[in-house]
Amino acid sequence: MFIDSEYSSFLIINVTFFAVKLLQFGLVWLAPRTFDTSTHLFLEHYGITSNPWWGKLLSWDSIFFLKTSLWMRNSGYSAPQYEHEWAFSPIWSIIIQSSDLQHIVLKAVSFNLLLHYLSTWIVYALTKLTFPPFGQNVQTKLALTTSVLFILSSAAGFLISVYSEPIAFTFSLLGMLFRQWSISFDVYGNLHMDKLKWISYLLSSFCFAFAFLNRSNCLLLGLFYVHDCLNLFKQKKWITSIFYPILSGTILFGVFVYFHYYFPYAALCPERGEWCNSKIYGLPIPYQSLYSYIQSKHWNVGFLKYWTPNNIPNFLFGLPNIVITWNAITYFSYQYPSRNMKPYIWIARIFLFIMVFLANVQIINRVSSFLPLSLWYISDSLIKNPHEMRIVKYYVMWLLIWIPTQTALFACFLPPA
Amino acid sequence: MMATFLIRIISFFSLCHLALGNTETYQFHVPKDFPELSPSYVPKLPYINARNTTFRTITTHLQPEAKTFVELTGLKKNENYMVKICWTGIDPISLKSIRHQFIPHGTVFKGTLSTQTRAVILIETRADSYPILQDKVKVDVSLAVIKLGIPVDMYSILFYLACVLICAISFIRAIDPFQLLEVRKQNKSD
Repeated sequence: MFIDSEYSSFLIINVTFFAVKLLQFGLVWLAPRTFDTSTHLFLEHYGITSNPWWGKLLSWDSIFFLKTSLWMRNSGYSAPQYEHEWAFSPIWSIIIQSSDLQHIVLKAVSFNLLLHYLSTWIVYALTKLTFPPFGQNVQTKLALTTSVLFILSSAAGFLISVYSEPIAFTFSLLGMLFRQWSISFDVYGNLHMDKLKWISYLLSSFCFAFAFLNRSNCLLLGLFYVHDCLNLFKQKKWITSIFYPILSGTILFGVFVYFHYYFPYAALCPERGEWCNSKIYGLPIPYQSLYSYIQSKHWNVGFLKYWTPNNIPNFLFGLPNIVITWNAITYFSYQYPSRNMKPYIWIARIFLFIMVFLANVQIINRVSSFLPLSLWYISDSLIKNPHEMRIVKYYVMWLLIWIPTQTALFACFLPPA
Repeated sequence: MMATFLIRIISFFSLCHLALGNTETYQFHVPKDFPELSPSYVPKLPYINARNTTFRTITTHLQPEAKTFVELTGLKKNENYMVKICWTGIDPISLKSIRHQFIPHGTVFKGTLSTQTRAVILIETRADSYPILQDKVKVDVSLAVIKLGIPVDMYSILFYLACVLICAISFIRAIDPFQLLEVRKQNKSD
């Protein structure tokens, strides 16, 4: 397999990346028709009466980003037109703004390809930085395998469309890289901050905040700071904890409060009523974030709300990633415990809980791309633990079937969303 | 064999009702004794003519908070049909209900009277977000004959998906990642 190949990482990653993308675009181009025929209505709304092949990239949530982008440009407003559209990153809609719909699609798809490519190398660097050098060869193999697995993402078709996942995972991984670069652990598991790398640590919070603005699940990355803070508290390093994790965490928390509470409140209230009425101590901050409110109201998100018989297929769609994430948590908790992995495990646990019990479970296939824990588990299993291979083998086989199938489903406007 | 496989796929996707945000489907059966419309009959409501075809789509407008009626002509006796309503997600509406109705001849329906027995689909919608949508919404209404339990417009899609699946499985069988890993283990032990 590629992990034993003598080809350079550069060549393997590039060939894999471009081969996968070429295959995916080929599958979109070949797709015969869409089950949901509404894309032509959307295109006609913006003056495109022909039936371009790239219309097949505009399935599911893609149109919300495009619509908000055009709405903001044409109306001059800095907020989406309808309440439910706040769930789709307005920041990403601003980034992809262009003169017309066709140019927005071209820009967004190009950005997403570029971001996926860049983040593949960020994963490579992060893996090398995170795992101790048992030997240059093993470390390189681990980084290479992880990067290739990152290209073979279960997000598949969503990554060649207009979705905000690529920008979210790029900045998540970049933030992890900045943080990892500025910290170290001693043999007792004590965390040490390099004073010369304070800026790098702080930059991680800006990356996480930006990732969060594009995908709200990235708020979980704040657990890195909770972990670092607790570790420094144990060592009674109060000043360091203030200038490193507390300051960084505050930045992320501030962005969360501003963009999920204050900004929508200022845009929608008091005319909106309902959501606006439950204020905390009369402050312009409601009890529930707008994101939670609209997720619950428009997408049926809530504790066990998705556990209905008609959602069994959606649970089956998400099952491989649920199993692999669970296994990754167990593996790094008990079989390969490491101080470095602890915050990743915390994030993965809460993320898995949210996906299974609160969210629309099938989105785990695209949303889980922000955390490399399961990729590290697969890579490490492939390199070190042959007895672990059964699950890993089935997962990799599923991925190789899932990527073309999901791309084809997406191009035909079929579930999973 | 292939038909069973395709039926299983369509049954699986039909369970994903909630995931299909901007598409709603509805199936109905045309009775054996349903009288054919005369060729000279001209519908007075928006309509889909299924004469000489197994699948047809029309684009029509509907009010966000209203009941809309679409007449179906050219229906075949003792046949199953699927009606599909698609609208774009930028129009925040949801469908409260879809149902069909056979209007007996000589009955006044929505201010129209006909000597023919008519088939009508009722689409009931509601505005779904804030601010409330006021403008008319453009929707696609499709009518497809169901054969082997599958609406005919799905045949090309299912054939394509089956081809992709078969190619992917053949690829896996050809490269067998696990076997390659065994080779790696052997190399390591050497």
